[in-house]
Amino acid sequence: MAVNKQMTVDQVVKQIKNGDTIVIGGWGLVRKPMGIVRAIAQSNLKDLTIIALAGMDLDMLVAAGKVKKAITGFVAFEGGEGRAVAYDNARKNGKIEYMELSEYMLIAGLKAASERIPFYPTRSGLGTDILAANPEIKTFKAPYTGEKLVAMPALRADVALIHANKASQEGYATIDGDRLWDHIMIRAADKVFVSAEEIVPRYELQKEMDKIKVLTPWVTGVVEMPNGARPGTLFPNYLDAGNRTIKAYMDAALDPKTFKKYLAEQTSK
Amino acid sequence: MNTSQNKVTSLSEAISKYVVNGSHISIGGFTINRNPMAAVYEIIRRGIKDLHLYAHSNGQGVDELIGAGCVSNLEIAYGGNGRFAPTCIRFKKAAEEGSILIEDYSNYQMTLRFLAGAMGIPFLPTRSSLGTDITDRWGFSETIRKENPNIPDDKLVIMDNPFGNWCDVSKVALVPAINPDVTIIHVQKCDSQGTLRMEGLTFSDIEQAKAAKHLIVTCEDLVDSSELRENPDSNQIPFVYADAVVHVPFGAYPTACYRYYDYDPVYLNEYKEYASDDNRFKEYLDRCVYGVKDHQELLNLVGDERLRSITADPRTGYSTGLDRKQ
Repeated sequence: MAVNKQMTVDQVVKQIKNGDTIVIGGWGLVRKPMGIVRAIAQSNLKDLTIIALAGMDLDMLVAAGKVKKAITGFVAFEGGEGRAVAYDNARKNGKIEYMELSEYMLIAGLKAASERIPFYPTRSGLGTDILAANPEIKTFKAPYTGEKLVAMPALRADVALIHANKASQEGYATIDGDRLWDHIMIRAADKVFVSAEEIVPRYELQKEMDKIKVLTPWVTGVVEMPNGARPGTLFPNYLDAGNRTIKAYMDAALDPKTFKKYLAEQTSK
Repeated sequence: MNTSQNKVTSLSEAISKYVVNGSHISIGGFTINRNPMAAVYEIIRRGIKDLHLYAHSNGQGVDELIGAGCVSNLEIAYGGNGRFAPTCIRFKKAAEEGSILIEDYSNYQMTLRFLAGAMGIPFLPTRSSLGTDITDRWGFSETIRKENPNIPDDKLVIMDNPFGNWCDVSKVALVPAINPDVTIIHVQKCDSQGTLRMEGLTFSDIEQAKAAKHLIVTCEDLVDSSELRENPDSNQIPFVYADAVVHVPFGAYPTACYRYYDYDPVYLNEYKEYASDDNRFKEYLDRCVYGVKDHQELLNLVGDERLRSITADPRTGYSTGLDRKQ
């Protein structure tokens, strides 16, 4: 008998603790698990460390006061109204700690964690201020060549959250189009929660074997969540995240009262 | 990076251009799956010697190159032919006689070494091999390594964890990158520019292809680029890596090519018998390799009936009715 890992979004939130490090999949506005992110934003959780190639996910959690530290390769919404307002504001006012890396350094750190090794060697970051700003990242003289390389420490996470097109109750999931970095970061976390547009029987997923990017042993729980990546995009289901939806968020993000209302409206949609 | 539009050539031209005595080459595939056999036979027919050969866990291709005397040095994780020879016969014999030098890594380490080469970094760290004699027993001595500028000075380097006990490990093994002069892989589909698609397991082929200075691709189907663009995320290697594209149907024969044909148990059983005896192995080479002018002639020798018997079933991708014990 296969294990049934299907759960509600509230059950996911209950498995997250104050102070946890959460890595969130997707990229910018693309295929972010926004439904789960909103549930966290509306929860009592606090002091979270968020690792993300971020769009509205990190920004929303900062706006909701959930974030102690952000670890990112970039934070932006793209499109005409690209500025991440809450993150930008909190960063300027010293409300959050942050570790800002190159995108590759971020992925290298997660790759190391996923392979259970303490660091990943890379040239990324050499000659930049990233190393000065983050003294915990080390450089070393490389064996074999003698050159200077960066040792990007493993970025381990307590929880990983991703959104998929389809999932089965056992925890297999398909991703249409670019899987981005999700296949790496989900193996860097102790618990993995997958929201999906629909939960289907496993034999349905077997019809599109080569789209299965998430395997059941990695997964703690799956949540059925239609439109789970909105207001961002999900290929090929919905690609219509425009300036209007971004502006609606930006107008609400900096005022706690308006933001609460915004979150409630988005969740009920 | 090779951006030529049309890289289609003949196998003999591709091999004569990129493989010479002493070349460092790597071949793709795994045990009796998708070995670039047509290319291997062409190398043997051309009498190329002193190859430094890298493979992940290759079987038939490695064994025939060693048996034919083409190889001086081998770096590999595993050389086996499935049920036909859990350890490849000519490989085992060469190891026992000391006629070639062999460096042994774990499977995962070989993939990491090709990956490091592909990424353009000198090594990758791993826990693999820690606590085993892979770390202590070196096939290439320190002297050989120092004298040969094309081999790294160390088989691997054990490094203290620069972050204390982070990730619950005090030491890691750093395995050196491999950048072969040429990698040869056999794939299901490729276009004339070298964008290619493997179906089923990819083994270490992607890393091997990207790590090499030159890449020779042999393929079952030479297809139009528009066909590959329909599902671009199924294409593993972009055209910039390929230097030569050769259309060779049954190019992995007698090893298997998923969705096209299975391995040929008759051939591999006969090979096993011939390979077990030095004189009979010469007979085998004379008949099946030197005695034919190209891969098509080998296929003619084998005959249509045998080739039909290994044709892949469209649903499963392998031959369902095949008697694998014969």
